[in-house]
Parts: sequence; structure tokens; C-alpha cells
Amino acid sequence: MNLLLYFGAKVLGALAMLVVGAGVVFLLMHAVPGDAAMAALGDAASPDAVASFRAEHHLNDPLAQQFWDWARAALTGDLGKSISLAGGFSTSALIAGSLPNTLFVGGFALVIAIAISLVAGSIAASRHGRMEDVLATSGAIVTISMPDFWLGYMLVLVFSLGLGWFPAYGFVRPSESLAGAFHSGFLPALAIAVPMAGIFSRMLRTTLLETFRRAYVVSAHAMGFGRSFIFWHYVFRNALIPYVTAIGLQARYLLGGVVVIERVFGVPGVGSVMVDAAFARDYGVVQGCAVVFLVIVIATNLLVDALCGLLDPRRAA
Amino acid sequence: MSAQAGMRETNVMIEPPALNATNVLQVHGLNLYLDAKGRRLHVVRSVDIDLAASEVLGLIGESGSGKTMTGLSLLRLEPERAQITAETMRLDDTDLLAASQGALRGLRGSRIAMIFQDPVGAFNPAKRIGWHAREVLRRRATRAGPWRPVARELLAEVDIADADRVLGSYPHQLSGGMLQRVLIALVLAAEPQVIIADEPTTNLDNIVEQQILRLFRKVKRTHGAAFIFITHDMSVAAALSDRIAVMYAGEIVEVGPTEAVFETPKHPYTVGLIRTSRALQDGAARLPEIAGELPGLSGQRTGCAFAPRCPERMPQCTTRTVGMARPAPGVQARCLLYADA
Repeated sequence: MNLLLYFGAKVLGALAMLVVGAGVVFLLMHAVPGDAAMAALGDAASPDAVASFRAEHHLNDPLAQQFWDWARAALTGDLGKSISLAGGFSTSALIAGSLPNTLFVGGFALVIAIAISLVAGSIAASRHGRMEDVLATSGAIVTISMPDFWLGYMLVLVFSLGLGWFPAYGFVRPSESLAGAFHSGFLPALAIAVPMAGIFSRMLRTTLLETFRRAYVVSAHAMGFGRSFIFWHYVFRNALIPYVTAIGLQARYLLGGVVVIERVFGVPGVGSVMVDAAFARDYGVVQGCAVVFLVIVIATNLLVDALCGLLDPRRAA
Repeated sequence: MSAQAGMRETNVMIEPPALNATNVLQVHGLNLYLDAKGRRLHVVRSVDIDLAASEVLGLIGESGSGKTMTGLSLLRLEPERAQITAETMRLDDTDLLAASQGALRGLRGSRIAMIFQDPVGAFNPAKRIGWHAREVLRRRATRAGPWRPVARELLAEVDIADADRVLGSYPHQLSGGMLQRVLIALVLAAEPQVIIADEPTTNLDNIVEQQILRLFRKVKRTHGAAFIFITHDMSVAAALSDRIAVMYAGEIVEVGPTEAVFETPKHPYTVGLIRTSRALQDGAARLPEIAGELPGLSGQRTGCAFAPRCPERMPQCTTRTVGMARPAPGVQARCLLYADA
């Protein structure tokens, strides 16, 4: 019952955040200098053409009106039409075509980062102060300091151009071939994952070391439990709560990384769509993409809250 | 068990507590060094503890006197950055210094157990009490049968009536007193020979403290375990202990039968402690205090650790090594007032 209340409150909070976030995105897009009509029609467009373009796209309406129209349509899944792409692609269609690629690469990256950090963080903590710890900890600092786009190019240099194991550019959609998607998505995912793994490992190491010192661990030893039992059921189990929280906080950086890496590796994802649209002053599309990112971040936070609620019985109390 | 109980009666009379077969715990010359920020602290200094079967030894001292470290050492749960040396350190027939990690794990919770000051902190916050009970009973229970009925039985012994509710609760949902009862029940499951209770009532409010002390007295009657009861509270120690050992700055400065230590304390530090505690009980307007502070724990010490604060200080107190004297039958005091020569 408590747990339900806890989740209910979290969902309500997430919805409120979504509304406010969408409003901020909308305002920000309109605060950006530059005119969509000029961008779409070119500098040489006649004043009449510009005026009719503005009228057609309701660009002269008050901002609040524009936001209201946009938000109402967005709730029905209609995020408007692209004004920069010929043929009037709908934003929803653009996102529907690119979102699976982004989620695939981002999810793949997250799995790789978590896998690396679980191993590296656990080893570093259980071999505290020894060779393994020093290696893992300094390795983490090095990887955190690497810009992901630079790492992306280095990975291409070594694994594509050098060894020829992976394609240097381009992405096979998961709907076409799952194996192909894993193969072509590995390097972009790795480029995003490695710096994240550094952050996650350090986080896990720190929380594990803190948990090792807890009174309940000493008490568990006094009860005569074995080392590995204590590690998994006492130390790891309780360190998992701050670790999961930390991963949730990294979700937005993950998305930032995805946008950049999609460009580097030519992945046709939401990030690519968004960057193209931004250069074309295509408000509607940028806004749509930003809202999608917003939804992803909020959903991730909600998922993290749910996980923490399940992991930590004190949360719901 | 009744034979052991009988021996306890005689052991109180024996002086000094000799190395003999009835002592379940024999510790001689225990030292513990702690490395802290480049300094080496000598936290426990040549401590001797002889504990007869079913005996309750009260270990009294201020915080920082080394009581807890002594207790942890007996389970070999000293911190990682600590080193232990001892001439003898035996639990029954097991050499605690030489025992392997595996052997020590086998002893902990089954033959020697510890109860901690903070009952809330003693439980895994992510798991229900039932989980703790199951894991402990699976490994340690001396009674046959599935864990749940055994757990109910044990909880009933520590006066917990609604066992099923308690077993289904998370630690944060129960009070400190309740958790301490549960912990005592879990410790008793294995019928250990020695139970070390480290300030088990200090974090509890007064009424609950009285209940838990009553419970300890009952446990002492019904189970054959010997106790080391660590406390800074003289009245708690007096209520439970057969013998009292007073610790000061890492050393045991006086040890003897409870009555003797309380009625005729020998060491000036014990005298001061008892005077303060009496005044507290009598509600005196002005509490007599022992002037000064605990000495540092680093480095070599010449003479008596208490000398700087001692009202009876003599010139030789700061220059001579002070050994244990025997001022009365069964009583030892680390004080030159009682030295033979």
C-alpha cells in the first residue's frame, strides 16, 4: 500500500515535470535568434512569400496560443510537420523512424557501461588499495576524461580502419537485422559507454567501500556468515541503491552523448534528426525531438525511482 | 550445564582466576595496535581475561578505554588496519590467534557471539527480520526442525509475543528494544559458550533498558553461556556481573568479584568511578568528578596511565612499570599502593 502511494506520487510528479519541461522547450526554441520563414525560404524570398509562410504555419499567433495548439496536438501524437524538409514530413513520422535507432544504441551503451562498471567497481572495492584497485580507479579517471566524439574516432581508427572488425560509418536498423544492428551499433555504443562506465565504476566502488564499513556488515561477520554471502547480501545489495540512483542521473548525459555519437557514426537517430532540424530552424521538429528526449529522461527517472523503491524498503515508508 | 553452573559458584571464590579447564575463554597479554594516519595507537594493552563457563564478566570503562576493541578482538573482528598480539588467546580448545579465517567463521555466531550497541545498525536494512532469522537458524540452530517454528520459539523466549509480525517486518519498522530482543534470540539460537554484549542497552531508553537487562538475567539463568558485558554504566554492570574488570586507557586496572569491587574498590580510578556513580544515584547536587582526561594512546608509556589524574600519586608512579598487585582475595589492581615491594 505504501509502495503504491510512493509510486503514485512519483508518477504525478513526473507528469508535472513533463508539462513544465515541454513549456520550457517551447519557449527556448522561440528565444533562439533567427526566423524560420527566412530559413526555410532563403534570403531572397519575397516579403509576400514570407508573410504567407508565417500565416500558414501560425507563426504570427501569440506564443501562448501556439504552445496550446501544439500541446493539444502533441497529446494526440501529432507533433506537426517539418517545414524544412520537402514533402512536409510529419515530425511524428521522423521520430518514429529514428527513435528505435537511438534507443537501441543508447540502451546498448547503457548495458555495456553497467556491465563494465559492475565488474570494475566490485573488483576495485574488494581489492581496496591494491594493484587491481589502483588500475581500475586510474583507468576510470582516464576514460571519464575522454571526450566521447574523440573516443569514437579513435575506435573507428583502430577497429574499423585498422582491424576492419566493424563498419566505420552507417547503421543497420534493428528492424532490418538485429545481428546487423549489434554489429554496426557496437562502436557507437562503446564510445558512449566507456566514459559512462568510468563514472559508474567509481560510484560503485565508493558506495561499496562505504557499505563495507557499515555496522550491519560487522554484525553479519559476528553472526558467522561467509565472506561471499556478506558481500552479495549485505554489501552489494545495499550499495545497489545509490548505484542505481547514480545511473538514473546519468541518463541525460547518455542522451547528450547519443546526439554527438550519432553524427560521428552516421546513425540515423533522433539526435541526427534534431541537429539537422536545428540548423534549418525547423522549430516543430526540434521541439518534437526535445519532447521525446524529455519523455525518455522522465521515464528513466521514474524507472529508477521504482527500482529504488523495490530495492530499499525504507523509501516507501 | 548444571555442572558448569556449579563450577561458576566455586570459580568466583578461586583466586586468582587460574588457567584451568573450566575457563571457556583464556586471554593473556592481549595487545591491539591501530594504525591511524601514520600514527600507531596502542589501543589494548596487555589485557588478561579469564572467563569461566556461565560466568558474567562486566567490562567497565569510559569511551575510548579500549572495551569495544577488546570485544571485537575476541571474535577476531578487529578492524583491518589493526594488529593483534597475545601470549594466549583461547576459546575453549581453539587458539583464536592461530585459527584460520574459515575456522573463525565457523566459531563466530556458534561458539562465540557478539551483541552490539546499536540494534538498528546490526540488521541488514534491505531484508526482513525473517530473512535474518532464516539465514542464522539455517547455519547455527542447535534445535532441529524448520526455521520458522524455531524462530517463533526463540522469540517467545525473549518475550516477543507477536513473532510472525516481527518476522515479517523490516528492521526500520521495529523499535530498538525490539530489535535488541531479536538479536539476543538469534544469538541464543546457537547456544554459544561466550556472548560478548557491547553496551547493548546504551542506545535504549530507560524503561526498555530495564526490560533488556531483565532479559539478560533470565538468559543467564536459562542458558549456559558465559557473558562479557561491556558497559560504561556502573549500575548496569553491578546488576548483571559476577566479576568486574575496570578498563582505563587500554589496560585493565582492577578486576575482582562484583561485590568486592563495589564495596571496597582498590584502584584510585575505580574508587573515583564508584564515587561518581553513587553520587549520581543519590542525586547529589555536586558530582565528584575525576579531574583530567584520558591519556593519549600512542607510543610507549612509562609508569601508571592514571598517575596524572590520581589523587594518591606517589613519585614512583610515573617512573616504574606498574604490574598487577593482589590487594585482596580474588582482586587484582594495577596500582603501586598495593605492590609488595
